[in-house]
Amino acid sequence: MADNQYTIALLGQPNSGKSTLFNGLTGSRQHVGNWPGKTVEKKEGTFSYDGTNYNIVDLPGTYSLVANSDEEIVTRDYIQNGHADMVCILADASQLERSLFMLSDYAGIRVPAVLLLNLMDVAAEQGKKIDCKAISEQIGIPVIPFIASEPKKYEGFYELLQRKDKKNWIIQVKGLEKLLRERLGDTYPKLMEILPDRGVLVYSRTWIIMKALEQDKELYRVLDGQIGAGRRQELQQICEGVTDGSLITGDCKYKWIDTVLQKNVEGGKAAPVRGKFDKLATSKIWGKPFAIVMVLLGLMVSMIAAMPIMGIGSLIGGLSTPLTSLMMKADVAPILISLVSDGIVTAVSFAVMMSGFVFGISLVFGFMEEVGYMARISYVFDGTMQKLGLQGKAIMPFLVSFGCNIGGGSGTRVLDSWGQRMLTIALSWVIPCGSTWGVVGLVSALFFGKGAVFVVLALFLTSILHIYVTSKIYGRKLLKESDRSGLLMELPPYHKPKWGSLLKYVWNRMLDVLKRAMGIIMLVSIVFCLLSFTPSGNVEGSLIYKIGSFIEPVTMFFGLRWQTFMAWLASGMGKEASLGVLAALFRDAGIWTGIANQASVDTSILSTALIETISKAEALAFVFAFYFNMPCLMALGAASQETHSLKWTVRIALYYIGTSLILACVAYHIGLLLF
Amino acid sequence: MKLIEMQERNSANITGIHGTAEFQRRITSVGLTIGSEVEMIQNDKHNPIMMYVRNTTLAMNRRDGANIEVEEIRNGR
Repeated sequence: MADNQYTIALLGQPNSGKSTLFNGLTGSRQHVGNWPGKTVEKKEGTFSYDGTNYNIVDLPGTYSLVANSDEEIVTRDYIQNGHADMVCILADASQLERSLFMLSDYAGIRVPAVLLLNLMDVAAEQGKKIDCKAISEQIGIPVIPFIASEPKKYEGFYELLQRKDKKNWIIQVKGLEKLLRERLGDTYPKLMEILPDRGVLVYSRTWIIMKALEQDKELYRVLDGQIGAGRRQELQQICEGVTDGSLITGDCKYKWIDTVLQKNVEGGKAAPVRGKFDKLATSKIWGKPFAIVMVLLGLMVSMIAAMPIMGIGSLIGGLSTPLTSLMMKADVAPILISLVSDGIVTAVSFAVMMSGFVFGISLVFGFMEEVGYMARISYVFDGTMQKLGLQGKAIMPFLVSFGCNIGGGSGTRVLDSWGQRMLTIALSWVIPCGSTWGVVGLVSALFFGKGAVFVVLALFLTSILHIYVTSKIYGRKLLKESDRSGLLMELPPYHKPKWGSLLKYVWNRMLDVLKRAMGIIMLVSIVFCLLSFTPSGNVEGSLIYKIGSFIEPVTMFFGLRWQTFMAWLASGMGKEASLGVLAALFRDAGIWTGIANQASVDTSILSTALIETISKAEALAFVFAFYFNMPCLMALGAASQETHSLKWTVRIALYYIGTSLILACVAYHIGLLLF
Repeated sequence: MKLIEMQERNSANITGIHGTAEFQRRITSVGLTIGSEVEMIQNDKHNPIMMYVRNTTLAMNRRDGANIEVEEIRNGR
């Protein structure tokens, strides 16, 4: 490591303000990726202060340092390998007792650390007086009061970085050690004897003993390499003989926290106060309907918020016509013109429009999270979600998916484990987004008139069956026993939103999605564009026509004519695209123009053409195939970004493609009997 | 008695946390230990239990709540 490079890791429980601090420090100089070999998000960034460059790493939010889940293993490994010069432990000053648990769990690790007490403003509102200096003297490391959402007031933190004695900031564990020794009696010295005096790696003996009592398997693996399997076994044997080891260490840690806080914190021990809003939001009867209304309102507001950016997106799409005429004048090869104006311009326009949507959704639902309402929604829906093997926190992605599956995928961020995130995404893809409803409504009204109600009902019932079956198929594979743990979460106190940091978060998120989406969409656009290209503009000369009519005998098995098959395929680009493709293919115009002009499809001409060519049974097959197909590519992009697993995203997408064809086949053959 | 059997607004001390080491670690990390005081805020049959412990409002699923033993110390507030 270079002399002027200093690495800081952020450590804290969920809701401690870690991400807010990370964004506040790095601004846009951040990089999001994967931890090697893990499906855990790695956020790194840089900032410089007074001539020194600092690397900053946002460790995954975990409740403790036990290495069990992937997130926890990542966190532990990072600290253990000495990658960080300093660890910033964040705690919520408004709930000190509980949130200092991370500090107590860290105590005994000999990597320099500082304690940042976040949300000091909320603590002050509670009437709490915290003597940071006295706490600092007692635990032996600097304690900095601050407010993560106000980057302008980070001076305390920056001053700290300039101090020269950073290497000495090791947490004083004498008090904790004493408590542990008292609890364990004779066992404690026995355990100490097994271990080398100076501990192992960055871990002191006390820390190792505590984790051994908590039966931390990962620790045993590390010890095997350092002190040998024999001594490890000796240690393990004694520790397993102690009943309820985790409870003993937990008790010692909280007692230690109490001794730290006792003299140094005054007031703020208020009893819980529940306002009318909270009673309504968590009510047995009204909680759910209230949540649904709030989410619907949220979707509407996010649409409005998305409008300006979506407008820019469609303006970019409008560039395609002038660009075409310009290039025609310049005698550019027709295939290039088609590629640029139909493919690339449309792709950029799609990606921008989509990021607008992500902007709107993240803003509104980020707001709900920030003020504390989101946790209440999870609370009231926990029972419902348990039936699918999930827990309450998974409800949000489902509800948001009714608006848009992209937003649904992003919403899985709040879930505890990778397995839960992946399963939630896999199930929420059944939920039809707004555009799906648009197309389904149009096609079924056209073919079935008043009977459309029954089509929708059939779709609805099949959806429930689909979700149930899918949860059975993937539940077992995706959820390890440890992922199946039920809801256990903090219901944070309601507080006013911090607009500045919220907007910053939303903005970064949007750019992130835009960058990723652009690539994927561009690729697919170009492929589609080349496939449907004909010099004359007549679709019958295109590759897609040749392929389509060639495979029609096969697709007819599922009740899909080649045109509806292509429309089904295109629904993977964006659900609305199907409509455009249908229009294009039935009017012999270019397929890509059809997709691009989705907004202005002349439905009356389309209607006549459709009814003339397609039977009712075939229409039913198309509706089912379309409805149950995988969501659009952008939703896939969001899913792979959130889960960090392209493999599983593709796997589940293929599952959806397969099931949609099977369901179409069933619907077709039932349709043949009915009509 | 079990945690999930508590009446709303009553307070109790935790006397036992039964289950695997993993379960105990999870429960401990959110602030519940033997001896800590819990106030039951809401206890509907079909929702997770809502309680107040160590300055924090926690929601806990009922299955976990059935594995925690308490002794009531106060009725109402």
